[in-house]
Amino acid sequence: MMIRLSWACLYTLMILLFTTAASSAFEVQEVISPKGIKAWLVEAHDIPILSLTFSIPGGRNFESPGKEGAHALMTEMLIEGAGTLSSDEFKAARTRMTSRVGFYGNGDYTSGYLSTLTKNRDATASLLKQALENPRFEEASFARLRERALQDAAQSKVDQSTIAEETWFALAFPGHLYGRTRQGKQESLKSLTTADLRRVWNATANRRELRVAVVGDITPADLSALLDKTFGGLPDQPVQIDTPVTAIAKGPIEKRIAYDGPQTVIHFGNPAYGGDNRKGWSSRVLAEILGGQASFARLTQTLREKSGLTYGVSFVDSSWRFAAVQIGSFATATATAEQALQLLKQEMTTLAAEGPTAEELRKIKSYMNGSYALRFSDNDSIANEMLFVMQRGHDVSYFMTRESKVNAVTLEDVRAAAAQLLKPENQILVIVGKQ
Amino acid sequence: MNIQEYIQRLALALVVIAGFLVKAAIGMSLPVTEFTLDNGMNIIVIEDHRSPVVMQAVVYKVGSADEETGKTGLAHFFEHLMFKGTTKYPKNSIDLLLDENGAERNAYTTLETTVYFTRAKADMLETLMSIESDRMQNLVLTPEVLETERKVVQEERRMRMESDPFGAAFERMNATTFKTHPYGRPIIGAPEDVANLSLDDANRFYRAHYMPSNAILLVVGDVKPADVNTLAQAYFGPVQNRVVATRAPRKAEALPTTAERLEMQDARVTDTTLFRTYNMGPNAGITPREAAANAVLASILGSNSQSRLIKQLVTRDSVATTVNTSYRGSTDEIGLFYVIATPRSTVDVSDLERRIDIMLQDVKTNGVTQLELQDAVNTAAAIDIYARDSAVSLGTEAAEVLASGRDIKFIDEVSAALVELKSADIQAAAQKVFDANRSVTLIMRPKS
Repeated sequence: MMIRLSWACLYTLMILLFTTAASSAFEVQEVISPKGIKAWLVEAHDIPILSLTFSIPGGRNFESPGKEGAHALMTEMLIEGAGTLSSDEFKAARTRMTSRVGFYGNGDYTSGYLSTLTKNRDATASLLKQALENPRFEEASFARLRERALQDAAQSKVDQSTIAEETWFALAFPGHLYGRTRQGKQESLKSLTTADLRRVWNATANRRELRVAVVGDITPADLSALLDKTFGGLPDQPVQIDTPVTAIAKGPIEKRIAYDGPQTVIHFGNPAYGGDNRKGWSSRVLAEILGGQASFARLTQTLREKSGLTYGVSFVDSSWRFAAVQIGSFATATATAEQALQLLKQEMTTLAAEGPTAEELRKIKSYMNGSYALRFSDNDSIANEMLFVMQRGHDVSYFMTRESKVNAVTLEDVRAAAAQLLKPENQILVIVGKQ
Repeated sequence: MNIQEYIQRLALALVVIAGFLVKAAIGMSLPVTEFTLDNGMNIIVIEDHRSPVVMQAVVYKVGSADEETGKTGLAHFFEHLMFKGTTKYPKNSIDLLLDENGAERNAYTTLETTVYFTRAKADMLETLMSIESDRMQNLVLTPEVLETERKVVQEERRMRMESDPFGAAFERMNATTFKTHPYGRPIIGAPEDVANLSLDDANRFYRAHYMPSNAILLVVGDVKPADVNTLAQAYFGPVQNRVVATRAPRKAEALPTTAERLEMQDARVTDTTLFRTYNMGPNAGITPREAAANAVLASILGSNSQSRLIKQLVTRDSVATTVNTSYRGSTDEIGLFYVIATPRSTVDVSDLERRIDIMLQDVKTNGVTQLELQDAVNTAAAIDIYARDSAVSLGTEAAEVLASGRDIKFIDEVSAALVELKSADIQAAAQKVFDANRSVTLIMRPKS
């Protein structure tokens, strides 16, 4: 690791060469602009393109009660005309330059992205700047997008997987931001106005904790200037988010919902530990052993390989700003739903009681370390992974230390995590299908 | 999955096949090396040294269109069975070996090909070749394995087709568009056929199609062509061709002479959606210029916010919430052009359909503007540059094109023709494509 000071008057730059398990080497540079905007950069000049992704904490937390869906619509509306450009002109400019500019969000962050050919970099960044600083929130665009949101909300009410997922989150996080659907319900969408969207954006727009990840054809000096030019006009103020940290609802909860279809969809989950510590990593290792992507994960072996009861089952450990959970799902024919449920419960009970074997732990660590390198396959995926790491408050050394954190997890750690997290009173189960 | 997600998935597949991206794989600055082993196996190496990762894909020149009557779904079912073990890598050990090293693997079946791919650390290439060459010749199948995997495939079918109204709609559209040609059969197979596929069917299929002369090996990543050659000679070189692989003649599809209409109702949808295909006829004689014009036509009409149908119907008139047009291109035996649209809830689908028809007719009568044409060509050129960032997907598409029997030169010719296109080319394409008598229109409505 080294610090370069020669350009200190322009920006601060820290370079770290990180090495993953696959011995991949990326030079991650931390660039801090004169206005204090922080970005991680991987320079790649072999192709004349640039990927930039960024996030601002919060957004959905500023939705007023009864105004659910405002944040989702707001992120769409940011590119529906800005500054001197109408919606049509904004999109025409973007299309002509073959650039991508857009926004999205979740319960924790409001995020955006830009990708461009080098020759259109400044003009594309200018579009993004206008969207950030002067979104127009035109009524005609709003009416059109809300109509589509209403159609999507109506579709969600009859879509089996969406019913299962939304029910699970509503049960797990009653009254909390995470328990509400991001796209909103028909009633809340109908009540929205452009003023609601503008209010959410005005409360969100802030560069104090803005994080930016960049990969591609740009030098640190040019990036520093680009950061200030693009994001420098955002307000710089303390981030105020009053969303409470929460745990999922106390289980066991089992909810069955009647649905007329050939399959039964099952969503299940329990708390996780979260955090970048040994407990947090033991929780992640546990989830991989039970139902991760490796073929030897217990649920894959039991529900697919040995019995053919499902096409696929997943179980992931997710750490968010205000909660950490382990969530899984699968679909199976209606006739085999009860059999599959019993097998699911058996596997969880057995793992909670006995923990994994030493061999399982060895294999899963090897899998988790080996597969991490594959996340860095192209500019967009590298930028997205860097942003994910930044959002969690890590510094660039994370890429070097991740493997040692995985390896530090012991059999006892995972046994303890399994006994605590997978116990029946922690489980929330949603079953949607013919009853 | 909602209709937008479905369109995105469909559009991605179709754009790729249209040939723009494939050209990028061949014409891009990343070095491409091709060679052929003595047993006839084609090998393509694309060097990409940006990270120490390698992707190996084996593309077999067999897909669902090669299945015999009554054996639909066999190509896809067999794809699942290829992961079940060999003499050298017995039961589950392939998965275990790959997982322990953090390698990703998957496979997919198309109308014309079956593709197996693995991504791993570059130093694992020898292991990947060892596995892939062994399962090309020494696959071990048992009745127990077959029965368990049959259930998995049946669950996959329930998930993709029977639980998904849009999957069911596409299946019905295909069956109506292709009445005799095997493209009308579902890749995942008819339920009754999948239920009856036997171990003998699987073994016969394996012996007939899985051999080096019927495969293309693609290696993309942090490798040197000479090293790939050495490893390929060592692992795939000794594999013998059991027979001369052939593709059985397929039943021809007579060009339709009457527009067909279908109606579906489903309680699991809340919006009415219009799906339409135009049968473009056999691709055998299509010129590079025609192929490029077809792709540009789809791009100009319904691929982004500035496309004609989207700008008019979604943005200006607000009568639709989604409109998409796509061209399934020149690598298939028969070309298809898709139009998919969802009206606003206050608009009747017949009104939207009438407006679409007027706009399609307008392109037939008046062509497109120079600006529209230039934008479409610029987009294609930009895609070439962006695509260099994803050598893996480009390489896979290139191998698929080769596997479908097209000369690789054709792809370059399509790309070269693209920049020469005139408005008259697009108008001519529209006149050929938008023949109502070659269309199938399906209206999917909510069931109250």
